[in-house]
Amino acid sequence: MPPGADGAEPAGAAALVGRVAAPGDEVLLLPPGGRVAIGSSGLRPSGGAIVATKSGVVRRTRGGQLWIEGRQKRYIPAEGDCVVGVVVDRMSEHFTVDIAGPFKAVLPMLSFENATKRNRPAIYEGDAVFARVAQAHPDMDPVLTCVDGQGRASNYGHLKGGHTFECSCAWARALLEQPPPAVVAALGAEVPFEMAVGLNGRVWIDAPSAALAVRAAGALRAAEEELGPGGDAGAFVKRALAGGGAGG
Amino acid sequence: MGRREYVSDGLRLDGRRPKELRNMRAQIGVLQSADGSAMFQMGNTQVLASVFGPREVEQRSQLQHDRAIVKCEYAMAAFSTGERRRRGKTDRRSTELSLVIRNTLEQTIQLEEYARSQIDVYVQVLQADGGTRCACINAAMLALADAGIKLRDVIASCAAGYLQGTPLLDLNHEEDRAGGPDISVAYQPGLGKIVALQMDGRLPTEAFDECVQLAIEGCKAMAGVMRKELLRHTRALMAAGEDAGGGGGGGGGAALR
Amino acid sequence: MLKQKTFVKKTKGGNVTKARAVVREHYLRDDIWSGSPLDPDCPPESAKLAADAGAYLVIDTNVALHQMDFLEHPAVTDVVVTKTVLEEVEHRNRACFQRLRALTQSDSKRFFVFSNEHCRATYVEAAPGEGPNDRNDRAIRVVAKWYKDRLPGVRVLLLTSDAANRAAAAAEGVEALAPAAYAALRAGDAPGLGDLVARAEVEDDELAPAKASTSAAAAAGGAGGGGGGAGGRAPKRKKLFEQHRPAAEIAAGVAAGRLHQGPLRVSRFNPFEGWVSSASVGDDILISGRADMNRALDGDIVAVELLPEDQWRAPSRVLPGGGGGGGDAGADGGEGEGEGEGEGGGEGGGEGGGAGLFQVAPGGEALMEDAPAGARRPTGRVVGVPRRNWRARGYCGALKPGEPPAGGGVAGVLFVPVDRRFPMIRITTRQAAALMSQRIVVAVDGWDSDSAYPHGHYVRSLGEIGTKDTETEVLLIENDINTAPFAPAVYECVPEQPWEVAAADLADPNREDLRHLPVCSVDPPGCRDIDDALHVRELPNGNLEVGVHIADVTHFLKPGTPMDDEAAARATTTYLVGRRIDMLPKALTEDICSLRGGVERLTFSVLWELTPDAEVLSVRFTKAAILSRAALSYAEAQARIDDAAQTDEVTRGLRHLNALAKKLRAGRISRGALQLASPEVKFELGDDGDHDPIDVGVYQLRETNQMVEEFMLLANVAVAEAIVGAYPSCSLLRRHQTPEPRMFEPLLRAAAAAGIALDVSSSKALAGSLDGAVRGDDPYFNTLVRIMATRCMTQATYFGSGDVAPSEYRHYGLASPIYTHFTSPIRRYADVVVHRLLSALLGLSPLPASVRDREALRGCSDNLNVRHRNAQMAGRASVELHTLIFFRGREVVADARVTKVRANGLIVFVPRYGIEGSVYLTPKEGAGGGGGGGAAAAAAGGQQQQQQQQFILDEERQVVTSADGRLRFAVFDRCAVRIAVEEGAGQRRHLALSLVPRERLPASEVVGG
Repeated sequence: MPPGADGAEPAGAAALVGRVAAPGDEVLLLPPGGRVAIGSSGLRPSGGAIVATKSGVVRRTRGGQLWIEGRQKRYIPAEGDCVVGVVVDRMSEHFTVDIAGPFKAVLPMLSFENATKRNRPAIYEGDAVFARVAQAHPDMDPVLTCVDGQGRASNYGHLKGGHTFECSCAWARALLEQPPPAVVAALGAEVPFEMAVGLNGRVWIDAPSAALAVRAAGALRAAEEELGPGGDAGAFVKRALAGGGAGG
Repeated sequence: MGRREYVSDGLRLDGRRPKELRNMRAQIGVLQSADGSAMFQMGNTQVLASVFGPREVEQRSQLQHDRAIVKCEYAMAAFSTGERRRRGKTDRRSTELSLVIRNTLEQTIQLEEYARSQIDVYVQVLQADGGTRCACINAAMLALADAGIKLRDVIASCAAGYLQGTPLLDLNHEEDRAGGPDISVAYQPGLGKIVALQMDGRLPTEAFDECVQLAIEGCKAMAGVMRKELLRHTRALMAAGEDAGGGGGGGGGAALR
Repeated sequence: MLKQKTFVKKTKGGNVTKARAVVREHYLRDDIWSGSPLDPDCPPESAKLAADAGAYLVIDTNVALHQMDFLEHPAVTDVVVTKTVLEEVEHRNRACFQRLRALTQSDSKRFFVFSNEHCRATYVEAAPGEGPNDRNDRAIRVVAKWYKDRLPGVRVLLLTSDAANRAAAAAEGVEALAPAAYAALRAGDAPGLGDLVARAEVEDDELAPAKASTSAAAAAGGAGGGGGGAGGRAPKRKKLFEQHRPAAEIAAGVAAGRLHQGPLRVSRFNPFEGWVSSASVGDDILISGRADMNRALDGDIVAVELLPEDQWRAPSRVLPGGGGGGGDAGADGGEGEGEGEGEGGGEGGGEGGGAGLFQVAPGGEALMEDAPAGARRPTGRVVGVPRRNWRARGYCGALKPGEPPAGGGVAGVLFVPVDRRFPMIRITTRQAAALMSQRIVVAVDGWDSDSAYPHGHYVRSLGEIGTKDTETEVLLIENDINTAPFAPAVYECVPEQPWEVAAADLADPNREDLRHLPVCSVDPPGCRDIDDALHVRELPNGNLEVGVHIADVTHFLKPGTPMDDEAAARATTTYLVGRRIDMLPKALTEDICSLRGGVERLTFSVLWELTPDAEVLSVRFTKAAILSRAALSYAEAQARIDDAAQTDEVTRGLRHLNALAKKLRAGRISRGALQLASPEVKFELGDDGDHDPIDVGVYQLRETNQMVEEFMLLANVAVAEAIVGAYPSCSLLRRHQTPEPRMFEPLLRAAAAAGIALDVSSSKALAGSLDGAVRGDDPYFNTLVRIMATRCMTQATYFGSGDVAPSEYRHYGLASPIYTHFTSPIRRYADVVVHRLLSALLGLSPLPASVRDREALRGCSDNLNVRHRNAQMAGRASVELHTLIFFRGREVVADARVTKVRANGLIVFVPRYGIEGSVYLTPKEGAGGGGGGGAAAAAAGGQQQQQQQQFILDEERQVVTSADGRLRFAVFDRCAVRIAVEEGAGQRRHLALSLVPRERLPASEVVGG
């Protein structure tokens, strides 16, 4: 198979950055000497070349590491990611939390602000939590925490009430961009709402009423597919909310 | 009654030349709920594959602490063949095919990257017109790529048969039914490796080489089509992502209002 | 190269059984070329049509189906055969398809197959409401138009017999002609073309368009009387036959069990009596009479409706009228049937005249006539012919004499086939007068329901009636034997001559050098194709080494070569009296493969170690090179053995072999091998230019014949065991099925009448009781019983070992559990296949694909069986022909034995000449026109007037007695017959046998003292 995204391109590290690659495509022919740094995501050395193992865009970090940015649905935990999880089990020392990844995550009881052995958080099965991935090692279940480096909650913790919906990881990432997509502002203009976006493709949203929360969630979710880049976000949100209202 | 001519005046029954593939079509990401999914069509053979995972191993006893396990389920829709028939998932053919698909895929998935997890592959034949085995592998392959599972290489699979002294690429059902020998090959074009080879019937050694070579050529062509579709799909996804939210970046934060 | 992008994919939906839609892909392409060098786009290598052709002919399906002889005429070239036509022909008529295929493969004919169905420019989709035929016609017109537009420099002609199609073509700007019109156009440069144009069959439906509503009821009513088909419904032309039912109705009827379908086997003596085997009835269904036969010909697949039981009939028990068991002894008897139009019910028996002569058949075929007569059998009538099986190669015969040949113009004449199974055929020709004295070949084109005869067209002439060459040609065609010279491509496969064993052959480590062994061959005198040789040698341990050396034909005949294809198709060499039609080119047959004396040859050898008591200790197979010391005839070998003065190496070897053979033979017989007899006759041919037979005699068997036979059997069995051991499912074997008890019935009945009880429970029991069947006063009696026993046997057949259970491999006659043919690869293709199997077993060559594929092996063995049988029949017919020539101008009184008794006559066997024929005791009804009809009776009646005498048949005792009791004939009785060539009506000659008092028998002719 010829290297290069569309066939005719010569192989070269610089040339391929920013291009789309498919699994098996050679991203870089290894130079006879020197060092090439690759990230853990989507590349592997094979013979005399660096080969993509999944499809996506070839990227290079500021540090010079090559990696593949893919668009996959399933969330693979990475350290530092903020996630919205659902508690599936409450054990003596920790909660087991579903973060839509390959494995259930562990959220220790003590990883909450002001938590002590005596003072355990009042969180139970089915509750949503907003947490940060503290440890993500392939050989272990991921570990979450609900405190920042200083031991303060800083927005992490139990997400009370509201409504949780799932979307693609890519959309979740987009919602976190600064500035956020137009739909967020447009929605804010219609409904006062509170939102927590997890990189694991889960979004929690709360609004003055449950019905409004559900409709707002619907609008946000639909925006990924239906609202084009140049679309009129205001009109879209109005339409989405109205449609949702008719149903509820 | 004499024998039927499968190649006459250089053309096969459906108008192809002996070394031509059927029309192919691949569609990636057709299912919302699956982590990865793909529809693959070779002529009138149509297969839908979906991938779930990597996820937690269902049965603890099967857990492998250094690599992922792959599970594969093959099913044939009752309406997929000329005669409507309900087929179990546990009949011999299904069991065998599931195994073949699984073994083939395991050759290319970077299993060690997904220790302790399980990857489920569901393959559903919607329409069968010969070459289902190969279409299944191709569809499953695309679904795996769609799911973002790390792969050593793309695998493409293609069959070649040998009828009346002529090697034929990509047999359709009519040709398959002739009962001649039939070789299915799964091939990694990047690595240049045959990952699976299955033959039904008997074939002289010389013809065998010829058929395998032909099947490999077919695999390469298929891989080309599959790769193109993968790139197109990825590009579309990336474009959608970028249009919605500008350049991606590492790390993440919470936005609370 | 993959070019899928240029395809337009269409799906083709069609209803198949159970009304489910089947979707198939159908690719349309842009890379289909016109096959003409005038087309700039057409790659030169695929340009098959000529640039300077007068016209490109586009033919439609009906032309391809019905005008094959026309198309095969050398003047018809540059034809575009559309895929539409090719597929439809393949579907409708396999034989026709093969001829069309041969045409498309011929270089000189320039028939180009245009894949119009896959060409984007010419693909035609059926319009709503358009039938498949209309659609196909349109598709072909589109092709013609396409050619016309694409190649403006050439005249493009659409050939079609359909006027509507021609009109449509004209409207579309395509020039269209009927084949006859085209032939007229070419009358200048190809005058013979016109005769080859077949007249289109008038469809039943077209003939009776208005009667459809009432026809079913009327037909049912009219058919009740057996011959009532005439009905008198048609206003102008009488309808003689009931209309065939539509295909759908037949299919439904067969499925429902109301109708029975199967191939029609017509009696060898009467074209209007036949049988259809039916599993659903569990018995053969008798079809009797012209009306019930309803235009079906022998070999057609017919649909039969059983008649009510009270209308069941018995097969005719009397000796059939006009004889001629196949072959040349032309059948007369046209008179009676000719005028029988519309009267129906004309059972052929008793009509016509002339005694029949039929050569001794080895069995099976005579059975039909031997079935217990008198009993009424399930009787049916033909209601439809789902598939015609008219011979594509045509039927040999002659024009019916007496028909007034019109002066020069086109005349309709009747043609009488030599084979009595077929009715007369009406043909139209301009050359009637010229053809009157010729043997000609005629093809059947159709049979209208208002015509007493099928109609056909003249194909070619074989020559003057009655000459040896012409009649030989007839028997070859009738038995479908390919006498065409080998194609140049075949000759290219023959090694250059003079050929001799090369050093490379001897250096081959797999080839043993056995040139030092005292090998010799023993064959019939004058044998040029020597495929086996023998040697024996004493081993130091006192045992004997025996070798059978078979010509290594497969060393020269490689699978997949044109020569191999040709040999496989011919399957066997055909031996006629004084002529041989080879399976392989002469250079191989007579020289390179032939194990001639004094030259080195390559062989495939079987070597045994035997004890002096002929017990086999070990066997091995090897390719070898030998040097035959002598090529002996049976008589020469016998003379050497008998001449005590000769003590050379070869002679000593022969004596050893002879002794061993006797022991082997004794062992075989003790295991139950049958010793059967078949009266083979031998002709002594004159040295003059004609090589006419000057003497005829029974073939003399010597000890040496049996000696060679014994070792060949031993080799064949050894090879059979070896190949089946290695290839249990793809070996080619030969088996002889145990005859069913009912097949012995005629023999048992005859033997019982003679007071002999035969035990037929096993081959061993039969062999024993045959040995016991002797009459002290009659040394020939035993031979006669054996001859009759031979006729109860089925034919041995080739088969693929995967197709039959191992317990069924048995060869009954040889009492061997397994058998094959290995020893005559020069003249039998089966042996070639077996050689290849054995060679693969030894690791010397790969197993050829043709045996690996079970389907292909079955096809191969089926062909071998058919060809083998045809070759035998042809050989027999040739003997008959020479017998006839021998008796021309001679009149002989010969000793004869009664083998069957019938109500109106006897069937007698003449041992001296190997002739079996019927002798009439009563004159035949309607003998008036027969000419020879009364002769038999008249001769027998030399002693007294017995023309009016009635005879009474006693089935039980196998005796026929005259009403006054003065004449009595029992089976096995001796009698004397006068043999003479009789000039039948017109130009047909045949042998006539007539009884004469035994006193008139010259002593020299008495057989068996």
